[in-house]
Amino acid sequence: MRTSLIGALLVVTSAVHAQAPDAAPLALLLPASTRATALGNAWVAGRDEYVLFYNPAQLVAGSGFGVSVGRYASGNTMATLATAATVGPTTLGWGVQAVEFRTSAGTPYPFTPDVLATRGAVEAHSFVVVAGGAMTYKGFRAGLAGKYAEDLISATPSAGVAVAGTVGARTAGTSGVRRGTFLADVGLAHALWVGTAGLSVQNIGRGEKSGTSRIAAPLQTSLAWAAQRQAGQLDLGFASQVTVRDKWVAPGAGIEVGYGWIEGLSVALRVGARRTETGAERPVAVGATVNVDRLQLDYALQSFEGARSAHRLTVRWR
Amino acid sequence: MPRPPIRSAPRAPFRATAPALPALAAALAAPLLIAACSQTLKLAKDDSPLVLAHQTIAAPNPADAGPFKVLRLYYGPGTDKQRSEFRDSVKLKTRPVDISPFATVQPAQVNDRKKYWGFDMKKVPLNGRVWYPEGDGPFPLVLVVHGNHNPRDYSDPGYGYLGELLASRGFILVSVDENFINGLSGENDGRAWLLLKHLQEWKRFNDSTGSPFHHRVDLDNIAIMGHSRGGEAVGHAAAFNRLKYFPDDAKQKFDFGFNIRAVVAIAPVDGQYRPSSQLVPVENVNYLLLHGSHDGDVSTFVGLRTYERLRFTDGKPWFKAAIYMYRANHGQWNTVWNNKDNGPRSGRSLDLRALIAPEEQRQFGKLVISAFLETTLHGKREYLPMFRDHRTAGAWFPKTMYVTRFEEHGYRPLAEFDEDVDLTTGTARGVTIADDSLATWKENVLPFRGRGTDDQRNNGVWIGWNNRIAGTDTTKYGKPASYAITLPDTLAGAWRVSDQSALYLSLAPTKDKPGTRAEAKDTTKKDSTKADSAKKKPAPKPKPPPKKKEEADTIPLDLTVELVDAAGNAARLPLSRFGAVRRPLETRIYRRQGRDETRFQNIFELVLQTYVLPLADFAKAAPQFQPGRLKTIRLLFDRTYLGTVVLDDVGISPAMNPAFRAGELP
Repeated sequence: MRTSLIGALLVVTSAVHAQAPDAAPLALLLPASTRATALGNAWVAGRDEYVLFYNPAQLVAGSGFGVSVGRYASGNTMATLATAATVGPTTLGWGVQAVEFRTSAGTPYPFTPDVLATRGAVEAHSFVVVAGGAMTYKGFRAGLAGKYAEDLISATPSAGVAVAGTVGARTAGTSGVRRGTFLADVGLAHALWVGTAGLSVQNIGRGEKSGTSRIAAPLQTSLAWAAQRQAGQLDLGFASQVTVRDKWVAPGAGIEVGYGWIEGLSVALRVGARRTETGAERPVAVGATVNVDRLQLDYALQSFEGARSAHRLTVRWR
Repeated sequence: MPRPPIRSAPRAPFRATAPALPALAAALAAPLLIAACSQTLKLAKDDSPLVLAHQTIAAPNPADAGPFKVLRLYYGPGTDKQRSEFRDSVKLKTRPVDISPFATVQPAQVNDRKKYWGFDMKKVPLNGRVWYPEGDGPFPLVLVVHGNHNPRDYSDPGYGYLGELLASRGFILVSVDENFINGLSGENDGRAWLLLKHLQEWKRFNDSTGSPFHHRVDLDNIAIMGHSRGGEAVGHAAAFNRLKYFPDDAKQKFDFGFNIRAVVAIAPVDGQYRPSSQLVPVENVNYLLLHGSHDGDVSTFVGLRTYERLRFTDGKPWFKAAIYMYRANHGQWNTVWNNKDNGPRSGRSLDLRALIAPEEQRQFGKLVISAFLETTLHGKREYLPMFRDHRTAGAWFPKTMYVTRFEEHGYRPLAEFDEDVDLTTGTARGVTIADDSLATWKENVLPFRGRGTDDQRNNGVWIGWNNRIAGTDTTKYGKPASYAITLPDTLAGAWRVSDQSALYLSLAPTKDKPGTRAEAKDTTKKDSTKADSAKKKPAPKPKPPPKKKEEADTIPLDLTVELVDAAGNAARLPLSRFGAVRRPLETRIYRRQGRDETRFQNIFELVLQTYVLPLADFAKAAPQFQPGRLKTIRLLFDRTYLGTVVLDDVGISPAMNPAFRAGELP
């Protein structure tokens, strides 16, 4: 039933706007958590440290420390980490997501996530650093985050990158391109039925400056609902959200099923679907988690057009 | 703005990733397979066929149904939103009470709770589920209250098995509903206060002419029972019952003063509420404490602290008993809770295979609770011996192992090891202590098995011995080590010690094994080493033998108790005559291999066994021994050549009620 609903949403919303509007930096367009990757990137109502990249209101202090690494079949690499702590009535957290990749000369800019699935000769980096906090007031959780995001394309005399934007194309040439911007996110969350509803407005800011004009940051609003339930010996999770960016509407949802047979050992499988930024990204992703006492391994598999893929792994020690 | 074509760049060659998946899955699964092993079931060797081989109490089994027809009813405000029995079936109406001075709800929970229950802490109901005997009475009143549990999985029906039994035997049993304060914290004073408010209602029921209980309630004989947090609450209730004010706020005046004669604590916690920041003092009630070794919730026998604190100060014939039941858990005392000590998924963490069958655990509960109430409220003295020595009722007890504590009001301490830091002095004035050839002699606080700093708040003495003489001759033993408590000359007379008296001691062997005893020095030999030491090199030290893997100690432990009178006449009897002498009962609660070792500092709880030794038995064994002139109590370690025991509560009951001493074992 839920799968049908998700499918229907995908069909309906596909008619609104064919492709995600141009936005940069690239790091803001990538799933920020391994778990979320396999849940349709629907993490605005999720609950962990990585939610800081989605909805600061849902920030929760986790125990221990973990790092997430994404490796694309192309050899491009992404790393994410986030942590949070409770300070008085607030939860404060910070996180960073960085991707290092080589792209081909002539790849249009702003980059889209599928650029990571191929490997070229031009070195590029993109990262976002975010810090935020959340607190509860009368049953509502509210959060605020500030972040800095940047794309960096190295100087490569022999190869150029077509840079699009309001100023038209130009090449990186000998001096390279560095584009950064300060942005803000705000979020709300509240218990709703058996789960949690979340609302976030992300990437509020002026976007990156490109010459005399700007390339828009991916200003977007997301409405989400997520829930976790125990069903006998199984742990069931459901996450869903709808993101609106300009006139582009992107639904996403995922389910997970967890099972533990003895204290300290458990597994979870998850699958999610979403409307992707480009047609080159496959909408469905899968993932799994293995917990062995204090060690937690999260894995997600994301696919791209042409049977290309990306593996993502989070190792966490609690 | 249209995006430039994104596929213009050459694509990186496709890398086949599918074959990597099985490898990754295997890598993920490997640690699971390694770590998934649950431990094999390990239980202490069961000696119950031997220990429970006798039945010397001739009275009817108190766990059997009695002659009364059992009736049931409910009382309360009759407005319960969730439970039809407390809405549609109440026969006696009660008014809600304001528990807010004693129990508060976290602000985040206020709305949810009010929405679910339909009331807040200012108007909580006095709901009771009653089993009572048909007849004119008056019948003793027994209240039982559950502990903390999922508030929506109602706990109060879980004591129906006790209700049916006790009502058939002429008691009114009320299972008190406190589900609406489950899930709170710092509310244990509220649990206690609610119990006393129920007693006020019962006084009204008894006094009201229209009530089915008019003049049918024996308010001179009241017992309160509690399980888990309720087990702590009954201690607070017993204390509040005598107070004029709530200890933490004199604005809350108390006016209870009920004749609570008996208190039963089942797997209780202790110290969740501390009146005036102290552990609650309890006094002058009969007290029964039950706890299971495999309690997966309250995993330490923390109720022992309340047991130790309980004092008898008014000269009335009170007694207290504690029974530690091997393989019993936390929840099986309640038919709703059962084997879910860690919640609905207890089977993941707890080794449920180790648990005794729930019916057997409850049979034990029926047996000892019924016997206790028959004794304390109905005055049936024939069940008293089973609290002194449970072996007198071996046929009634489910076949597992029990460690028991006991004390009656006449007990007077000789040495309790709490009063000072001098190893050579006892508790009673003038009592001295001495050792002979002991390897270990120290006083310390008795620990709980849990990690951390929590302990029994009670000191004992560690006594270790090894009678074997060091050296290659493994057959060479020295004289048995001993530990002697000597009374001042006038004490036996002053206390009127006689052959009607009984010696108390509480003791538990530990697994510690002291090293061999050094050979006594021969002082007549010339010390040649002094003269030659400058010339000769010291002989190389022999290599120590490789350490053997420690094997389970199968040598049964026993010792001799020797009593000596002022004339030097000695009488000796083995301690095992007065109760089982066991090494600690190995207890593994968790399913995961190694989890118990991680979570607990010991895989056993140090529970001392109380031995009550009638002096008449010693006089019988050695007719020249005169109990009235008792001078020395000596523990003689001549029956097991090495070991360590922890000893506490050595004392004398000068004139023990003969009813306790009945049912002597063959």
